[in-house]
Amino acid sequence: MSLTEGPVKELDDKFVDLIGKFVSDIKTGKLKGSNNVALAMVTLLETIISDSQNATAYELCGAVRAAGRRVMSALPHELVAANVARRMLRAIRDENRAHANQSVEASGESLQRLVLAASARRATLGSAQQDLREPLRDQIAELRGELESSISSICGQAKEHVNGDELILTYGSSAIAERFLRAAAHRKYKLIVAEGAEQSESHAMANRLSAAGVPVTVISSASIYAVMSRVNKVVISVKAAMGGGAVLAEAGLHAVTQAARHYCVPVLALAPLYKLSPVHDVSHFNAYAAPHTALPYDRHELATDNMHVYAPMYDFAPPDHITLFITNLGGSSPSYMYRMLSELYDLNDYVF
Amino acid sequence: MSSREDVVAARQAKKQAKQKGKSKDATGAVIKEQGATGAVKQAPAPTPVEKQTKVEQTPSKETPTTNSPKGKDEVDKAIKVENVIEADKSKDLIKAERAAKKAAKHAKKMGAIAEGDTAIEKPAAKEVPKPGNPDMTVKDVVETLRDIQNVAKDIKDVTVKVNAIDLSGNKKAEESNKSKAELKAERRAKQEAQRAAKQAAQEKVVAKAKAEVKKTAEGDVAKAKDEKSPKQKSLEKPKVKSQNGHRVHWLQHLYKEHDKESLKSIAINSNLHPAIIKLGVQLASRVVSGSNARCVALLDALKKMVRDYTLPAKTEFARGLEAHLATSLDFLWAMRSPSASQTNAVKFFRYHLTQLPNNVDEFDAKKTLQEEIDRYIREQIDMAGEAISITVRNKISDGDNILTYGCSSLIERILRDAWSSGLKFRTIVVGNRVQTSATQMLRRLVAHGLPCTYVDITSLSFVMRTINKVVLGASALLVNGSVLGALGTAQVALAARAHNVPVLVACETHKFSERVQTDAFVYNEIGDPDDLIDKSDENSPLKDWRSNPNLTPLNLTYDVTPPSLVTAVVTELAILPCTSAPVVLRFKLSEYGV
Repeated sequence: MSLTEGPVKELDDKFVDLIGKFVSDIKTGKLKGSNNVALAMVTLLETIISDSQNATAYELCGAVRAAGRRVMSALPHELVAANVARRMLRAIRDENRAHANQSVEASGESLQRLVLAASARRATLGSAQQDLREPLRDQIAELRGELESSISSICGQAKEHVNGDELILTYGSSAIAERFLRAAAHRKYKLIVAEGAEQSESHAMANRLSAAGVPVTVISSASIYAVMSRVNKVVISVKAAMGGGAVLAEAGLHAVTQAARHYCVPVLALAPLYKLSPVHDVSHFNAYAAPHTALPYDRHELATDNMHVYAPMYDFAPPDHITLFITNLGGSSPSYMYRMLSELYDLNDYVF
Repeated sequence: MSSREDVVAARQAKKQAKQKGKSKDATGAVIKEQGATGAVKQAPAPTPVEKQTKVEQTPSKETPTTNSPKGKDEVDKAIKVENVIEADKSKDLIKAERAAKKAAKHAKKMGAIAEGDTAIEKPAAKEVPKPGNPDMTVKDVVETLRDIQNVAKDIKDVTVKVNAIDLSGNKKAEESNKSKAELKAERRAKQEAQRAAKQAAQEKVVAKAKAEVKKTAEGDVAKAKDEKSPKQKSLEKPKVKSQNGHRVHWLQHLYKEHDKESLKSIAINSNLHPAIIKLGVQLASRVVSGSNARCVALLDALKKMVRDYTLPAKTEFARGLEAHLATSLDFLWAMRSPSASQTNAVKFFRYHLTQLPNNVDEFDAKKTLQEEIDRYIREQIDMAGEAISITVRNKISDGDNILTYGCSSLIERILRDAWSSGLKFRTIVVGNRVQTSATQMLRRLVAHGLPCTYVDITSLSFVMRTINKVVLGASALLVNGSVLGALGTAQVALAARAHNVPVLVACETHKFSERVQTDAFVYNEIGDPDDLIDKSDENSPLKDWRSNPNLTPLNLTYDVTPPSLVTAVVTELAILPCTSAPVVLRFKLSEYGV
């Protein structure tokens, strides 16, 4: 019996409360930044696993999947939380397989095995009835360690990509991009910060980087095309990296990558692996910010039924606009992202 | 330093005020103007002579501070006289009078400089074309005052800038010391100096009134003025120094025309026509912006200049006016570098100037030139706009989503006409946070009942999926087919190209330029870097950028769209590919000599 085909498990009330708290922390802005969200999700799942009464692979998978489904329905745009749940499911499967005295063939399967071994694996998984809590603890610690170190390992690659006297353009603001650029500060490069939809955060980042000794030029989002001809590299951080090599990011990113492509400027997308999502269709994936972020209230004097104001939050850039993904495992081209996907997650967990 | 010009100017202002009062009692505003001008003609002759001699006796090496109370008394008198008559005057008039009063006060300070200048430049002064007859100038002062009151609200910044000018004026006054020889020269130059003072007063009224009208609204006029100037001093100096460090090194060549600097360098005593000076300030403070508006404003100012131009003796009309035109244009271009439309308009004007016969009558020449200007505005701008509007209308169909970027008078006209002709479409106005002109466009379109959607430029790819046509305005069409447009235009064109949406650029042929440009750096304008700072956020992280040598906000004005991103250019002649720009230019050269 496949783990994915089990009935939707009802979670304990105490777990539901925990998930509720996690969701509200994110919604109220107490929990910010994808890395923090990922770590909090690990903690949440760890609690659920260690407090589960029946710790067989089947039960644990059901609980984790239920938690993941719950978080997804509450926060459809926090892809990171769902990714962590998928990683956890994969860890449970691996442990189960190991303890069922099977040859560990899970990690680093070849493409051929993926195809050939699918049915065989499925048949054997449900058999184990062992308590997996103890072995899972190591897996969870490993996952947490990876999450904690992912940003610093990305920043460690900064000196491979940023050279002296280059003109780097970054768009919007993000913790990863800021640390990446700061790590390369000694290379004496010059930076252009194009303000994103949330201009105050872009300005704050520009301010901090300039304080760190990087010569920063701040431009508006309309001048990106105008300056792109001089730019040597574009460094962006993404909200999610798609399986096909596309990226989901802050609104306005598409214009940046378009301009970069027009001038054949390399685009480096900083994507720690927890941002890698097995999502492909993002045409309907968007959310609206409050309209006053696009048109301040003081200019709304003519607001009539005839006038609409939109402020979408996300933008989608196709794979051919990205030159290189920089993950915590090193750089990889967009066309290789599908492989990463199959290494990180189990095929059955792509959809909860 | 004592100066009769001050006093003369003060007296004149007083007189003006009195006459205004009188004529106000009599009837309406029109009569008032005439009365004022008429009276000024007769009146100044007797009184100034007495008082000038009086002033000459006072030691001329006095510092301005000791001198000022005297002037104040006089001005105060003027105020008293006014107050009696003034009781039931309308608010506008009172404001205008206050401004005039201020100008009178100011002219005192000014006069010192004016005097110094004329004393030194005396031989040259005779050659310089003299200002227009007093009737016209007084009228102009009153007219411009009224205009300015309307404009004043839009240009708060100008207050600061104008005060900066005052400062430099004061300094000059302190610095210059007079010798006896100079004094003699001054006496001889009295006639010129009087005129100069008048002129100076006029200029000052133009500039000062903007500042003052605002101040009077705030409350205590005199206090505000006294308190403001010392503060300005401390504020301005560090700014100027630190700005040199905040330059993007690959845009060094663009920084020279910064508007704040140029406003400070307005010549204090010049023979420029008030309409030119007014336009200069409007251009520098971006009150007049947009390619068509700048062109029309320029032609309008030139028309006024031609009308008031007095031909110096033994000068050919065309040559005299050409010299005058050159100085005026130097001033204007220093305020803001010319747009293609302005360059073409000037080219056209010069062409007609040279076409004038050698022994042309002054009156006829003026008439011809003014008619030509009117014709240019009518044919090249107005009718061309209509032709383009009709052409584009045929390209819009019911149910279309039309996307436009920024604010363009031509695009607004096209969309308005199309809407009123019964087409049903939705307009998507794209703007950006820094250049807020798009909200102005949105306001105008919504006011005409057009269904509109507004998005920021960051949301381009979000809306582009639903767009049927993109219609863009242009600042200039360059001869290599590139479109010089408002910053962000190229980005819109690029997004449209990526979504296979046709891009139409609407551009009258008077905006075609002979320049070539392949990127936005060769020619551009650096806008005010402070515009990038989020005004709604008091603790904006960028607000201290001047004290941080590593942080440079860059605010460009134009960008260049390559011809490959533009589907077609709509001109009044036809719908053309971008690359036909040279053909149009050659055609125009043979047709109009422009």
